[in-house]
Amino acid sequence: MATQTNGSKKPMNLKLLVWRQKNGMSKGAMTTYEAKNVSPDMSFLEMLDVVNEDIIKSGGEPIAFEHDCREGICGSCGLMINGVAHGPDEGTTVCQLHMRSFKDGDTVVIEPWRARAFPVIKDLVVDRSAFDRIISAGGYISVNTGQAPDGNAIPIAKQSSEDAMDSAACIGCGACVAQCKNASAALFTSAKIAHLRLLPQGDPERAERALRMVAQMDEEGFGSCSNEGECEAVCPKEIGMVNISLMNREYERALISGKK
Amino acid sequence: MNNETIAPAKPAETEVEHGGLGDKVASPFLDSKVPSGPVSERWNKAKFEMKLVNPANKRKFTVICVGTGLAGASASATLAELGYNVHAFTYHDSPRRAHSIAAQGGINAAKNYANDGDSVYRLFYDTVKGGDYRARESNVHRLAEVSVNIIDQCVAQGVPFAREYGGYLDNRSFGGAQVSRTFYARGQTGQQLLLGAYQAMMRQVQRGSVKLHTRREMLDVVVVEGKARGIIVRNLVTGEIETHMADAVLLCTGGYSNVFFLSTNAKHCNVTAAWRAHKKGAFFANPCFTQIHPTCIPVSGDYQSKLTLMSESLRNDGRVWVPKAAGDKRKPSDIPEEDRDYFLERRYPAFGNLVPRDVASRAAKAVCDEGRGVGDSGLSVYLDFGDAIQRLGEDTIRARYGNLFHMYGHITAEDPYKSPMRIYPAVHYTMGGLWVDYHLQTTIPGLFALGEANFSDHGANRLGASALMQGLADGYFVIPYTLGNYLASEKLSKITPEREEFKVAAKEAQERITKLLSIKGTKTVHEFHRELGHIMWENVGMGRTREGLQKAITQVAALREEFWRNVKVAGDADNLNPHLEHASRVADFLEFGELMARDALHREESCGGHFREEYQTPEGEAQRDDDHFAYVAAWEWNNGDTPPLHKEPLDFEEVHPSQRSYK
Amino acid sequence: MISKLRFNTVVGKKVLMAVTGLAMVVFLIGHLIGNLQLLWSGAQFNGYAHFLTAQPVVILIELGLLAIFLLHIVDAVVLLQGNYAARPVPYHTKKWGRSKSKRSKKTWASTMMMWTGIAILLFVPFHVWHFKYHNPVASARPDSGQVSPVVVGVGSTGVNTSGAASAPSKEAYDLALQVTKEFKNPFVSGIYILAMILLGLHMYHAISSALTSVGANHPRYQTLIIWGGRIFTVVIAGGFLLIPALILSGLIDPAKTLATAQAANNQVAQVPMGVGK
Repeated sequence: MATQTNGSKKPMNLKLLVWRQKNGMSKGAMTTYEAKNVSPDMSFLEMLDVVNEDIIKSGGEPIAFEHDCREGICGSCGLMINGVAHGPDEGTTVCQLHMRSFKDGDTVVIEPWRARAFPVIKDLVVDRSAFDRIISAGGYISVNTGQAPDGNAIPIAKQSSEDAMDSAACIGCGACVAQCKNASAALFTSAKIAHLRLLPQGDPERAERALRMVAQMDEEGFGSCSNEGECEAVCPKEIGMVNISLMNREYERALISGKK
Repeated sequence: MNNETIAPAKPAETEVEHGGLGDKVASPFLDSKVPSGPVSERWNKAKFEMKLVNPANKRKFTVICVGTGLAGASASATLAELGYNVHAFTYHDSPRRAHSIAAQGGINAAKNYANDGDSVYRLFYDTVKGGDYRARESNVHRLAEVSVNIIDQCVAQGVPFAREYGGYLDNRSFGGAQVSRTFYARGQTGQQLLLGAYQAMMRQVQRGSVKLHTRREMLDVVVVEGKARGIIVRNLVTGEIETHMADAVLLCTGGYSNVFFLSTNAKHCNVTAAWRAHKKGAFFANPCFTQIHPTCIPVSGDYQSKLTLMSESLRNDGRVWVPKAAGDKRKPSDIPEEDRDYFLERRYPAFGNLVPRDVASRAAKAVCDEGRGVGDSGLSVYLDFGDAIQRLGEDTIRARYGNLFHMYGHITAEDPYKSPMRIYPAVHYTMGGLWVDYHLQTTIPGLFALGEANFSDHGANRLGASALMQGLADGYFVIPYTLGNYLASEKLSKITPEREEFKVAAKEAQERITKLLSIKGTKTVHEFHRELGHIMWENVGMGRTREGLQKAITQVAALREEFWRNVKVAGDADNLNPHLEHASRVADFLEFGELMARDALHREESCGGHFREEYQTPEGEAQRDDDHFAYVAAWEWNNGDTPPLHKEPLDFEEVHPSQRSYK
Repeated sequence: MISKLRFNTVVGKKVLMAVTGLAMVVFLIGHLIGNLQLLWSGAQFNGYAHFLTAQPVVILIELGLLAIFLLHIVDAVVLLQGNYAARPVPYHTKKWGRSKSKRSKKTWASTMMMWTGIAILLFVPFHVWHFKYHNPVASARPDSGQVSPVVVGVGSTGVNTSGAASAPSKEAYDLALQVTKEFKNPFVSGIYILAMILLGLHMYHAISSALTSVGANHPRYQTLIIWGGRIFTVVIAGGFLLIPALILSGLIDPAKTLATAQAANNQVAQVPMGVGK
């Protein structure tokens, strides 16, 4: 069950310290807001919805933040809450974080992901298209529609399939980059490399995939991996650092084998 | 907008319309282009008869694909592989955010790996029957045929479907099907299928065959010489209105459940693209067919922004009940057995808690309407695992539903192992959508609709694990053929963005944005949307009545009028402004909601997800009227005046309509 | 195209970092084994030093080590530059992911890699200068025929490395004695003890990190790798640290044990040398 610091249904009042920035060109600043009568049953984003309604009513511009499914799977939402990506609850995206994890009178600091590769577009919204470019560099299996053999033509060990699924569960939210002191995208990139490497279908392209995806990761200006595992701690899907190790191994293998 | 169109007197007129339908006169505007011959031969025949585009010529054609969900991404990837120039558009920051990603349960395919008697024909049969005989047989059969190819394709792409110990694909039975034909990847099947399609598309982006346009929202379809030749989009970051030209346009823009404000859909799901296409001439089919899912986490307060679905497998072991007496506010543990009403078991002794989605949802609403609902809001019923835990032990229940219980606990802070869960139905999927022919082409030549955005192959009710199947079938295996046929058959003239049609459409789109920002009223977009949702849920939700629907038509019109007078849209149009985007979408919902009510009002029968209180059997079950309503209702936009209805009669040559019974 | 994609990437650089780091760890193991002989006996230690200075390959190893050391540093500087550039705007508030989940492996040691690295960078030249040039250990090849300034042995008679009797060297001294003398100075000992603590902190994160970087990590062995690395670190850094600590505290005195051993062996030692001539 969720960490529960507020078991009661009593409404709370919070102080929010939120990053506001008009657009990518302008300078931003931390701005203070009051969140009044917050129900502990609200999700964090619902709390922001309510604050935004107040801002609109008083003639201001609402805080822009990214969100969509609010079920923790689309990967749209992502905020640094009190200095931790996706806030205090383990294995949780912001949209699944509930206000009962906070206490009456708390100050909540809300910031966007910070990375050179994730420029701020507005307020708490950043541009994560770097992730798309990393995938397009090689995060796929080259099979045209219609080429596929029967689904059962290649048996895949249950464990391999489960391991691949663990890596494939990545939602591309960018929390790993946000939390990493080096803004490294190693966990994201390696999760895709691992997903496709752990399945026999991904084998023919494994060397080229590792080389290309790593090169693209570099090109985007992400930092290097210091193997601290902060990414793993904040990953809402609890994807492990072992993926990074696997990526390194794949990369070395590609270098040594000299294969394209 | 034209508010005079919604005079309350109008519904009477639509009522009359169906009178002449007994003879099933097809609208001359609706040519379904279904091939002749036995249903199982039709797709092969159609494929052979279709014209082909020479490989060298394919790169001369540009195709616009709006939306990058299962249908959009799979279509973009496949068309690019064939050699077309594809431009893909999404309002998200990345194609991978599309709401297809949230589908949990699985995807059906007639592989018969389980050797339990499944076949293409059985999947076809189940789907037509499950859709309560309001789907086009030929389309459904094609869907069942290509379902097997979808699984092959996805496996080849690296989708990590569940496996058995021998390494072969695992199947499970889902949604009450009698065979195990559902393929799944844990509870994240939609995510994995979408990532497969997304990656296939990104590969084409790398190759330069797909040009990806993210953070663009489609605001209009541009029709030149009667054919769809481009779109107008708004760059959501800069606010710029952009014009894009093409030889054909595909709309893969999903469903419109968010007209109810609260639904299980993602917050940004909307009807805008489909609605703008409708206003340019594409007919809208069966808008009132919506699916309501019984096992969702109930609303906890006014601030609620969306509803969360829990797998319906919970009903396998949970018992649904409410107190016998209205207003019984005791804790569930304090209510003795004799004061509990296990209403599903009472009303449907044969199926009990396992009745289909629509039946379970309606029954829950009925007891809540009687004032017997539980929870603070009175809008939920108990789903009790007490008996199951006693019988099987907590460990077994944990093994079966651990992740769902965890999610429930996380959201509600209640422990479902100790006290019963509370559930309530929520809107989940929309079977209605843009009318398309067998080639997935709308009534605008060159404009195609794929996936949930079209009126689909599901009839009046969709079976579990069929939505993913349809999205991918359309994108991977149908559109590549039918689009080629269109491009090879039509003579398309050379156009430039300087043409009047583009300029006018761009100007209108810009003016609409300016208008929204200039109203500066007192009510927020959120409030309008919530109010609209309330009207829709109360009157066009699970149980619909003539009075309620007529009221809804009036109320939606009044709300729309107030919207354009009194909405307060914050921010500006030159920067990212999610609030403005929302305003634009709600404006479309306010027009669309009325059409939905109108469609529900005219369909004087109950079928699938559409339940009219007036048309039920003495036992309270849905009463279909095949003599009068075995047709697709396709509505034409009439500049805001009462929309003309066009009918495509449905013939059932293979699967003969029968009454569903779960007693 | 592909040729461009090679070592000069963050992953390539991390692999280089790991490989050079692990190479230095291998050196440290050898170094520690040598040093610990001092605790055994001063004579043993002097013998070992003598043995080393007699190996011509040592100079190659030294050059190799220098190259590895420099590569490690240059690589670190380049990586750090990239890492700082990767987040130009800092957070207003930043907390450790550990506050959320125990899955994080971040420690104080891992956050201080740069600082402990800089400290080691400052320490190593000092150390080399201190024992190689300021108090030189070996600087002439054994067969050069030159009078070596390094004299391994004790007493007033110097023995040059080629075994020839020589005139008393201007800098003749006893290494074990010298080390003991130096470490008896709390200031010198303090520097060495501090340096070894910092080295330990550096390695505490570095071992498992390097293994992850080279890809030697697996879900099943992850805990083993992390804890193995930590225990190994304690052994290595602790081993080095033990020497100044024990000498400073007076618990052992290699010079004293040496003196008695030398007294007993002095005569014997002269004989074979004479024969050798």
